[in-house]
Amino acid sequence: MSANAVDRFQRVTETGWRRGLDNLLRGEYSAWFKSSRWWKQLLVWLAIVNGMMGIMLIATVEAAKEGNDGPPLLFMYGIFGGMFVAFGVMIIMQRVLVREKQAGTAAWVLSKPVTRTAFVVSRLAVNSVAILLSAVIVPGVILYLTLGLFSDLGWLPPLGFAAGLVMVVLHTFYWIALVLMMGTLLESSASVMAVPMVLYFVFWYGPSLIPALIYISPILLTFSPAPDQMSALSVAFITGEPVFSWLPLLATVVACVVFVAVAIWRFNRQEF
Amino acid sequence: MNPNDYVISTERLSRSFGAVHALKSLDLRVPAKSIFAFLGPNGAGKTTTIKLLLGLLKPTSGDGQILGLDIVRDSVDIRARIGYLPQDTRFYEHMTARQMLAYTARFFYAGPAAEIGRRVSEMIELVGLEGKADRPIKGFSGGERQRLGIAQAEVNYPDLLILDEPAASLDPMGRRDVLEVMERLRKHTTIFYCTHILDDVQRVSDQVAIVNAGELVTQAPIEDLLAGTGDSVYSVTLRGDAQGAYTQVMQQPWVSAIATSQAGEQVTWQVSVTDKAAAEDQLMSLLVTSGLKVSNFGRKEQNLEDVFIKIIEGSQK
Repeated sequence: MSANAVDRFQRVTETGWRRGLDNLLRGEYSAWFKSSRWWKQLLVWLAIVNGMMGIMLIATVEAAKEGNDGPPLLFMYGIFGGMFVAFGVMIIMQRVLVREKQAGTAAWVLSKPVTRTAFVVSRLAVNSVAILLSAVIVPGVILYLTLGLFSDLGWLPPLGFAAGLVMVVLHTFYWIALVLMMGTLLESSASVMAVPMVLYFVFWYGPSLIPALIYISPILLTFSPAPDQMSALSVAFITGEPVFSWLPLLATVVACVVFVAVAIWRFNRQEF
Repeated sequence: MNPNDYVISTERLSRSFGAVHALKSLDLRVPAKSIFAFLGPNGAGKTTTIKLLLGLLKPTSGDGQILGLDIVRDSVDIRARIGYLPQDTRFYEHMTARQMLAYTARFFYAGPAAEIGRRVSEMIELVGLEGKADRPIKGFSGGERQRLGIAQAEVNYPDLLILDEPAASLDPMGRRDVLEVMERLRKHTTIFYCTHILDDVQRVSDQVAIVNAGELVTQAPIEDLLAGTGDSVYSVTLRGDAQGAYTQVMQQPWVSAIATSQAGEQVTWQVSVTDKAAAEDQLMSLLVTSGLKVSNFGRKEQNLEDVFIKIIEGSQK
């Protein structure tokens, strides 16, 4: 190596587990935001979340004209912004690590001076930001404006709505972290997607058999399977109702931390 | 040479996958600034060795050092000083060649952007991809991917280049270009590479190691390997009754073996001799005085393929 040639460059100074992180983040960021991927995702989620909520809003207005109750809008947001997004996350994220392992790009990147922890963190961070922005935050803000302008609900308290949106963000991150973790544990995209799907239905239908499941259910952050008995945490924050239990929130946060920790631990032990 | 003079050194490096022993107690020494060919049949343990050196696999036992750093403990520091071309070159398909090389360079250098851009252009020129530099990799042929693979491996001025089958998917012109690049790079770096193309090895390598079934069979400078055990082989084509002459020739103390083959009335002998001078002086006259007509006589040049096959077959016995 020619010393003069190398002296022209500033060396990467990251140390420890962060080695390679900046460049990995830059690469993932470019893949999402410097291509049409981001816009396509945003359009899909605007169509699903805001399009469906628009239809619900029209149905509410039409029902009101006839003196009937329309669909409960915030409950419906729990379905479109919660359940639909969760399944979208499973589809988007199932390929993130598995595809890279199968294609050999993970092995190629790991032959460079990067740590495996940085690799996992970069995939988690950029995919989370991209998904949360396109599927939760932008549609959420548009929904707030739509409800304020066109619905009987009027201008909801902004802080309460923001807190409700945080619940949707947490719920979405739960599925992102879970699918990422599954990508380190399993080798096929189908099984990486299947396990979270099964878990979703366990949380949806399980509490009717084992009522205690409701207290560790992430889906209760956005959607209540029994709305006459309890409201989802997001709805409670938006409407100012008392929260029936903080345990689902706590359990979701703890689960997210565990999923990320397991993903990093497992990826550090994988061989390529 | 002391251990620090070697760019790669391994001590009883082993790796098993369940009951399969992919690599058994490998002791390898790769001298600095050499072009070192690592040969073996399919499944011999070559790629396993490379992955162990890169930290993509962990050894079951034994240890190794690259540039004086431990392959397990200091893996990231090692990877900061080497370049690697995988056997099956897979990159991010949406990137252009230029973007991919800049992305690779940024694992090593934070800036300045202009210098990184200049280095990327140098690499594109080195591997002859100027016309394709700004096209997405997904449209590249196998040969173009291989060239790009070599460029990304060299982008950080590595002290050691590890190339897994660098010429595998190239046409003869591409192969020639790759060999020329390797020869050009030898001034600056040590090259450790696997290949099945033994002609290429003979052309550019200084040192050769051969593995078979996970075990190191031999490691030597290429000249020593081609010189073999000291036996030379003479090929003679004869006409007439060769039986009597065969016994007479075999009785000579400098003859170690004769392999015979017959085509019509012609008999061809491959005479292995331990003393070249004695053979040059006496073999021809022995044949002629036996009444045989000699239509062809010459020393057979041993090439690496002959040596490789002999060594692999010998190790399997």
